[in-house]
Amino acid sequence: MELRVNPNRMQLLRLRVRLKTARRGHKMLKDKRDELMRRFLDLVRQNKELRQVVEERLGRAAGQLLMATASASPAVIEEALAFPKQKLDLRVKKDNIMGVRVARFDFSWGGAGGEADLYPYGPAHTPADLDAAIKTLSETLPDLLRLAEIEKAAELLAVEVEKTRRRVNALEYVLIPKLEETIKYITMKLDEAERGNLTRLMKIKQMVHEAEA
Amino acid sequence: MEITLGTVLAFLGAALAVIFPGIGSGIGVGWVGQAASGVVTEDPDKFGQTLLLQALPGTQGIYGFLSAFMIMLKIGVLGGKLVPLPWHTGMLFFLAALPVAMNCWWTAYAQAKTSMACVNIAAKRPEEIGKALTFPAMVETYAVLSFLASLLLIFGIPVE
Amino acid sequence: MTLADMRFAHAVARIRVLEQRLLDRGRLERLLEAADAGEVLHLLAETEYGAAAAAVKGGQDYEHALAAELQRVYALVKSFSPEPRLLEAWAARHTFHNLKAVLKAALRGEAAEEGTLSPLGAMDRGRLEAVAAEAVGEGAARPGQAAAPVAVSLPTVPAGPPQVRVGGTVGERVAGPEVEGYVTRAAKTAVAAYRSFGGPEEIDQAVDRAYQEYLLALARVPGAEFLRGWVERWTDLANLRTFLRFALAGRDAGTLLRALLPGGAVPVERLVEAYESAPAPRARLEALQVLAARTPYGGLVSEGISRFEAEGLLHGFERLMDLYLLDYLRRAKRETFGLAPVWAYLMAKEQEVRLLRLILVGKSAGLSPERLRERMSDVYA
Repeated sequence: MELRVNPNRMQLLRLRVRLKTARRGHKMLKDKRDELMRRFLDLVRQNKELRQVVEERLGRAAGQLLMATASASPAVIEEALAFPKQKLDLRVKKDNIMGVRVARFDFSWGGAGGEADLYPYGPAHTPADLDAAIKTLSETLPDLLRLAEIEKAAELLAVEVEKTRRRVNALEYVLIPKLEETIKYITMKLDEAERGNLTRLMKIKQMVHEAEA
Repeated sequence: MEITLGTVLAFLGAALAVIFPGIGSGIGVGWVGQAASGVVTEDPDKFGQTLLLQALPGTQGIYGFLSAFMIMLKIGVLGGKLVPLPWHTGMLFFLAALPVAMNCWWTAYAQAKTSMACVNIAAKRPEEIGKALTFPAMVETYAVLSFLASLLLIFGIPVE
Repeated sequence: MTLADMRFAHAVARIRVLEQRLLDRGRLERLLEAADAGEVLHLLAETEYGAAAAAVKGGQDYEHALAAELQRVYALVKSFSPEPRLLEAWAARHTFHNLKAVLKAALRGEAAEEGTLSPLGAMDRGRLEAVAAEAVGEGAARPGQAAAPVAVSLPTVPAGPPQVRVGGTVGERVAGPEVEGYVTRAAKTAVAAYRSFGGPEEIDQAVDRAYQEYLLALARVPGAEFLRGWVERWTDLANLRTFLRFALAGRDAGTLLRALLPGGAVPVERLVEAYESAPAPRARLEALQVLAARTPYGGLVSEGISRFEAEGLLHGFERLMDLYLLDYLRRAKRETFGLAPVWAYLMAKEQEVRLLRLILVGKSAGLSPERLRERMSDVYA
């Protein structure tokens, strides 16, 4: 369906400019979409790998914690962990992927004795496997934060990809065909008028000839 | 009536024959009783078996009393006619009472401890109580031997 | 054997009957084959745990049932034992445990969470909180002044004869020191240690040490030779485990000394020496094996380490610890008089509760009977 415009040369020129802009916009958006897609797939792949690592580690930690809780009463475990020792300083920065604003986590251990000094309880009356669980969990934390970062970024990117794809489609299947059709229509109208004029002129010329003859 | 040194020594012997086995048996029966009460608190069906075990260290006291009784017969305490004994005869009575006094005293302790151990058998394996009774009964042998020795000695002492 | 041992005549005989009611291997086997925790509790209803198991709703709250059973046993044994305090030596760790929870909460300026407290503690919460508040208040920083580090000398076991108070009715003697004094001292040293070394584990370690002193003071009471032997073995094993844990976590040699407990047959100094002699975890494990080879624990340590290498967990080592202590406790079966059988019964009950917890936790998590079986130690019977 073409646009409702007056089929004159002025409009034709204007529409041609619009079509050119739309084509250029379409190409750029398509490039953006492809690039977003590439980045998105990249993130998804990273996410999948990291998720496997994290899930495997968390599963291991859960197993270790299970054995710890099986060999001491819950009160012992709760008390052992009641006073956390390590501090994690977490800062959130903003980053930009193709115009999408995503979060970047930046963290550092704030505890007194560094990373080896994790255990906030005495060893004499606590189950030994608690150590292993705590260690595994604290080793997993950086990956867990990275995973959160990637997953959120992927989610935001997916939204952006979808938006861009819709715009590309709108240009490709709606605006550009419409403009083309309208241009064609105006061209045809103008051609028609041209031909009508020509015929009229020829007719007048013929009539003038006949009158002269 | 004149009380001679011999009579005093014979009385001393009779007294020792009652005192020491009596103490031994009393304490022994007490110990086993404590153990038995522990079992019966948790398992009242064991009363009969444990009572038997408790009675075992009690025999020593009876042996002691019987020995003393024989001395009393010999020296006429029971007949009402106290025989005036020369000192050496009295000394013989005293010496004759020693085996039962000493042996029954200590065997009562030993038997009580064995009985307590057997009370634990009654607690754990009541079906084996017959075997369990044998162990404290072995201790009884030596109490009986000393009792016999004392009796024979007492009988053998000539009294005019 | 002394005449004093005769005071346990009633208690020992009663224990022999009670021992018959401990769970045996056959019953544990049936519990292992149960479908889930609910069925385990159902099976337990036929045993001594009947009353406690019946009170559990839905098979989840089994922890309460286990605590209730332990409480029942403590109260029962206490009711007929001539030396209640000696027998409470191990149960008193719950009191010290609650002190740790209350102290940690007080130092954070909070109230202790209910979940961190053990229902088996002998001192009630209010009294412990008062003790903790006093200890925290004492060395607090004055306004406008940084908290000056309090010089803490590591508390040592006081030398000299144990405080034995003779009294009560005939044939009954209240032996051993009062727990309250040790609790107060524990609170003070714990706060001081926390303030000077700055880590919540220092609170645990200081309280553990005070409890250890209490345990050792009780074990020195005449007639408590069996308890003494048990404490010595338990302490050695706990120290060996601490060594392993520190080595595997790659922790500082300096902190090990404060985590080890006095009173074992293997001197703490030798453990620290071995730890310092080797810098890497693997070398430290080897140093421990060399050290343990000259003690009765040589086989246990090398087997425990090889188990660790196979499984990656110290659970196997803890299982060997349990078995070692059970072996010692089984000596009490040959004793007819004295503290030994009563102590062994209490420990057997503790062991039983540990096994049941393993089964119940395992069943709730859906572990297979085979996996649980390889982690189970043994019963006393």
